[in-house]
This record gives sequence, C-alpha cells and structure tokens, in this order.
Amino acid sequence: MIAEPPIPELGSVTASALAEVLATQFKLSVIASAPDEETNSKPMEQCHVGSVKLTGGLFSGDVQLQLPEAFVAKLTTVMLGANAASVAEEDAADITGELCNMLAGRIAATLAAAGYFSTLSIPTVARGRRLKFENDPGAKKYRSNWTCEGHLLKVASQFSFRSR
Amino acid sequence: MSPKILSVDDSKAVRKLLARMFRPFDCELCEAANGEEGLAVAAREMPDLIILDYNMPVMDGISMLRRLRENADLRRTPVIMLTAESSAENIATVARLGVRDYVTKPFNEELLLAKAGRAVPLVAHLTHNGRPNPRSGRSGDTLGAVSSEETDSATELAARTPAPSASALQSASVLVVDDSSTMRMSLIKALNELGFDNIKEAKNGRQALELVRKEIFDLMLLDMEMPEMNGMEVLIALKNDPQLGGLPVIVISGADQIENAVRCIEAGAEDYLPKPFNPTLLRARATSSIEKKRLRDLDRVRLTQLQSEKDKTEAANRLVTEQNQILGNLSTKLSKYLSPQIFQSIFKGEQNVEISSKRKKLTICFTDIAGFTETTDNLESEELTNVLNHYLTEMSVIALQHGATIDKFIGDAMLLFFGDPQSKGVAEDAKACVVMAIAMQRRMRELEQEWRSRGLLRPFRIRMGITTGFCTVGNFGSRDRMDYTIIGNEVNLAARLQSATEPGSILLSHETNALVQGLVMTEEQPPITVKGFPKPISGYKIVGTFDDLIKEGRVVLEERDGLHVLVDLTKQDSSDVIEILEGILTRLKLPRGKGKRAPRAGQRTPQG
Repeated sequence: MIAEPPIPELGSVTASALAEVLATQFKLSVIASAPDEETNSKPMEQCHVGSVKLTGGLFSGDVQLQLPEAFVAKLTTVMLGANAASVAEEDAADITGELCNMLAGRIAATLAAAGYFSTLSIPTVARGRRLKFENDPGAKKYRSNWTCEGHLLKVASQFSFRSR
Repeated sequence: MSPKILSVDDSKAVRKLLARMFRPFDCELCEAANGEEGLAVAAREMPDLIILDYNMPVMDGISMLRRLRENADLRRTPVIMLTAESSAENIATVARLGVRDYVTKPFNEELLLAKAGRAVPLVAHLTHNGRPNPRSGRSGDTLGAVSSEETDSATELAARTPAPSASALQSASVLVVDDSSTMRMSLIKALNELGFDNIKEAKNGRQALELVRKEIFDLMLLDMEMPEMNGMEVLIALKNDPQLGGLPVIVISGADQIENAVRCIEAGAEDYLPKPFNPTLLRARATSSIEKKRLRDLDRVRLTQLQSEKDKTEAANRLVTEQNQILGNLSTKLSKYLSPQIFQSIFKGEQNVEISSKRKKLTICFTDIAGFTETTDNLESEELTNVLNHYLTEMSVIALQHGATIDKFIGDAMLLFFGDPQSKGVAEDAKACVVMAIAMQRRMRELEQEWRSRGLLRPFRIRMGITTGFCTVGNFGSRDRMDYTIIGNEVNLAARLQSATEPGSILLSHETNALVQGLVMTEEQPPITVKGFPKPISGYKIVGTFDDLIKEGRVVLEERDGLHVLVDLTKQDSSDVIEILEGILTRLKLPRGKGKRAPRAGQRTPQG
C-alpha cells in the first residue's frame, strides 16, 4: 500500500499565496486581521466573491475570495495604470476572477509540490453573496481575513482529501 | 516591421495589463478572450508571438496550442504560456507542444517582457524628450531577441519529439553555484527530494566555470551575488563560449533583486528563481529548462546529422562530378577514334553497340597519297608524323563539313562513305561525296606551298576513287572489340578506282557518274580490269564542276528545254566550234524533219 503524502498546512499555504499574488502582481502588501473583525467590512452587496475549484486525483477543493468593490477599483488602478474611481461591473468581475485564479494557482502549486496534483476550474464571480461552500462534513475548511490598503479581504477554502 | 503580439486570455484585466506593458515598445498588440477566438485572430493577424492563458472558457489554451501546431502557417509561431497553472506536468505538456516559455501568474512584468524580448525583437519607443522610455529602461535597442530559426527548430522538434520520462529528466546533471553553503545545501536537498541525483556544487563563479569546462551539465542554478566572479560574469562567460552557450542557467535571486534577474535573462539565463525558493517553482523551472535543453540538444544532434548528410551528399556530388569529368574527358578522347556521326548516334542512344549490320546503298570514297613512301623518304619520322597528321586532319575537316562518315585511316589512306548513319538520299549522298572529293583536291593544292616550306620536296598528290552501290554496314568484330565499318565489293571497287587514276584526280564508277550528271563534267576512261570483278570496269575522271569550268572559260554550256549545248574549249578550237555551230544553224533553217546528227563515239560526253 502506498502511503498518502503529508497534507501541507493549508492555512499558511493560503496566506502565503495571497501575499505572493498581491505583492507580485499589484505591489501591495497584506496584513492578517482577526477572523471575526468586521470593522471595515462593507455591506455584502458592495462585495465581489470569486471562486475557483481545484480537482485532483487525491483531493478536490474550492478557493473563494471576497473583495470590496473599492478594493477592486484599487486593483484596477494598480494593474492597468488608470485612475479608476469606479469600475464597470463586468471589469470588476473579471479582475476579481483573475485574482482568485492566481490565488488558487499558487495554492495548487504548493499542493502539487507535496504530491497533490490538481487542475483549476475557470473562475466564477458573484456579487453580494457570502463565502459559502457545498456541504461536505469530511472537508477541511479554512477562513482568514486580511487587510490591504485599508480594505478587508476575506479568503476561505475547503478541501476534501481522498485515499488512493 | 514591428512585431505583432497576440494575447489570449479570458481575463480582460490581464489583456489590458499586457497592452499597457507592451505599449512602450514598437509592437502591435491584438487580443482574444478564448482559444477559439485566438485561433481566428491568429489566422487573420499572423502574430509573431502569442501570449496564451491555460484555463479559458470555450476553448482552453492547450487545445488552441494543439490547433496552432496543426496549422501550417502558425505552427512555428512562438508561444509563451501565461497561466496560474504551474505544475511540472502542465509545463512538460506544453513544452512538447513547442511552447517557447512558461510564465506563472502572478507574474513579474519585467520578467515577462524579458522573455517576450527573447522571442521577438522589442524596441523601446523614445519619449518626447528623446530619452528612452523609463518603463523599458533601455536606450531604444532590442530586448534580447533570439533568432526565429532557433524558435522554429525547437518548436518543430518539440512537436515531433516524444515526452521524456520523469526519470530521464531527473537523472540530468545539475550544478548548484552559490557562495552560501546553507543555500547550496538547501537547493541540493530540494533537488534530491524532487528526484535529482546527479548534483554538483561550486562556491563561486570561477569554480563553476572550471567545472562546466570539465564535465557536461544539463542545468546550472546560479546565485547572483558571489565573490571572485558573480552570476552575471559567469553568464557572460558561458554565452561567449560556443561549447557552453547551450547550458540552461536558472538564476537564483532575492525577491529584491528582480531587476538583476531581468538583466540576467536578457543576458541569456533561461529563467530565475526567487529566494527563498519555492520547491514547486524549482521543480517546474528546472524541469522546463532541462526539457528545453533536451530539445535543443536533439535539435543540435539533428542538425549535426543533417550537416553530416549534407556533407556526404556534397562529397557524393563532387565524386559524381569528378567521375563525370573523367568520363567526359575519356569520351572526348574515345570520340576521336570514331566518326562524329557514329559517336553522336551512340551517345544519343540512336545506335546500339552490338554486333549487327544492314545492307544499304552507299557512296564510298577511297583516297590515298600517290607515292607516299618515296615522297616522304627524306623526312625525319617526327616531321613525317606531323605532315601526315596535318594532311589527315585537313582532309577529315573537309570530310566532316560535307557529312562523310570516316570509316578508317589506313596509313596515309582514308575510307569514307556517305549514306549512313545519316542519308539525304542516294543521289544527294553521291553528289556530297563528289563535292567533298573536289574540295579535298583543291585544299591539297593550297597545302602544297606550305608543305614545301617544311621540307617536302615533292608535294603530296592524292588519288581518289568513288563508287556507289550496296554494302553491308554495321558493327563487325567481337562482343568486346568491334568496328563500325562497311564491307562489300563496292569498297574494293572504290580502292581499285583510286589506284587506277592519276595522282591529283578523282575517278568515278559508272553508277556514281550517272548520279552526279549536271554537277560535274567527267571524262570516260578506258575500261580497267579489276580483281574480283568479272568484266572490265568503266571509270569516269572528273574534269571539274560545270560552275568552275564555265567561270574559267573552259566550257560553254547552254541548256534549255530540248536544247543542250556543251562546248569543251580545251578539246575544240573555237574556230572549229564556230564552223560546226554555223553548220547546225544552216540545218536548223532547213524544213523540219531533216537533220540532226548523233555525237560520235569516243568524244567527251556532255553530262545532262
């Protein structure tokens, strides 16, 4: 019988992935916030939620990212060099999806290095919904809050590992 | 012409970002939101570089890549994958499809520009103040482009080459170069964990160069900041060494040294790995670099093979050319032993070189120098050879000008014939032969003076006999040695006629004489008895052509329908001729029905 590879500590994997994506692509740094901190939290309808699913032989997962609209505008400004006070809905969804895609890609790369290979789905983006996963009692769930440029970002992931 | 770059990404933000990144450069950007659209835009725009996402709706990047490789016009277009997917398997898959480079998202913009600059020449625009655009940081020159041949051959080879096994890649030899022993150990440990067994280390650039000059490596992981010789100096030394230029180098740089990393990539490094390094990135970049080196090595082997084949082909061609030249020279030499007509007909394949013959009516000419031995008695053999060869050459030229087939030289004699392999008809062949014989006699008179000056006291005079009749013509001899010749009584007759005539004259047989009436005036000779011929043979000596005789005033010739008047003034006194003609006039004035007289026997016969 082949032993399963050790599962990386997914909380820190997610944290370092988010930090890497924001630093590399947007030259932004993040700091961790308390999980329940809602100080700067915006109303739900002013947030975009991106989701990317990971599908592999030994596991499946879902990485979700909630970004306030103002932060998406900030990302657009940084990424495209334009001063975007407000961003069109379509463009906001696009940049949220791309950021989520990069985040899931970094997490997938770390898991692949540990022996858990997967492929990424195309990102889906919705406005005004909570971070929410399919009901899977055996899944490992992680949630973390982050502050970047005064905006509260929420990251959540869920992974279900299978035996060979 | 500025390069055209196609970005294919489902994210509008990424496409816009790429457009912003490439704006400072003299290039044209087009975009597509998925693989299907990408194929259509690529077919329309024929880009010089495609930057391609992996995960896209409608058609993903890998499907588009496969379709590109099937398209004859686009299969060589360099592609850089720009994707969040970074597994070694994905990199290996796209490398087999000929992807030029692989950049993972999130990506460093300078790094992507450097990699794009290796695929297409990117020239920075100048700003309004004439300074280079600060974004590019370069003075209007190109961002390290590679030749299209390199891309083409690697792409083509990748499409044909089966994937290497993981074990094959991991048995590759890797050199880790870092002044920090901790970093070296850390990299070696990570490489070991990834399955790489064959790892060596060097603690500075100088030691690294010594090692790569002694041993063969598939990959170098190179630190930037080192004592004695830094990473950039190593890169420059490698790239300037034709033996080592193909060694892929991954630069290990601190996250704060990204500018240096970009410079290293421009200087020829394959990729870079930020410190602290991520094992997945290490695996992906090492695998990708080794795979690309393997393809380049295959390419080189293939090129060497092709060069070797080319050399062999060229050597073979040279040999064939030399042999052809030898054969050409030989055939030129051999052709001198054959009559040109025979030589040509053999070389054109019109005549088989086999023992065969046919009966054919030919006109045969036999020439011989009268009293050759006595004439040349006083000449040294060398001078004799020269004179004889001169004579034969001159006669041969005339013979060939008139279409004769030179059968053979028999000492100072020549046997020539007309009518094979080419014939203009029996009468025309006979006339050509007679005209040739007259030309030969005329030339002999011209040569007389020249030969006299060379010590030939008594000039050559030739006798010629000509006859027309059926002969057997063809190849005679054995299978190994044959002659194209004629045999038959007519050949003997020509020889006998020759020997029966006076030096400097031409004697025709009865049949030839009949065929050349109107062309030459002949004089019938007393019949001669010839061995092999039961009855005496009539011979006709050529006096000259009518044209010449009229011009010389030796003959008067008037011809009309029903009238033929020939006066040979060498035989008849003009007053006698006048008297005869007046008699004829008197008779012509008499009433019709009285009077013409037949010519007397023994008199010269007017020909025609």
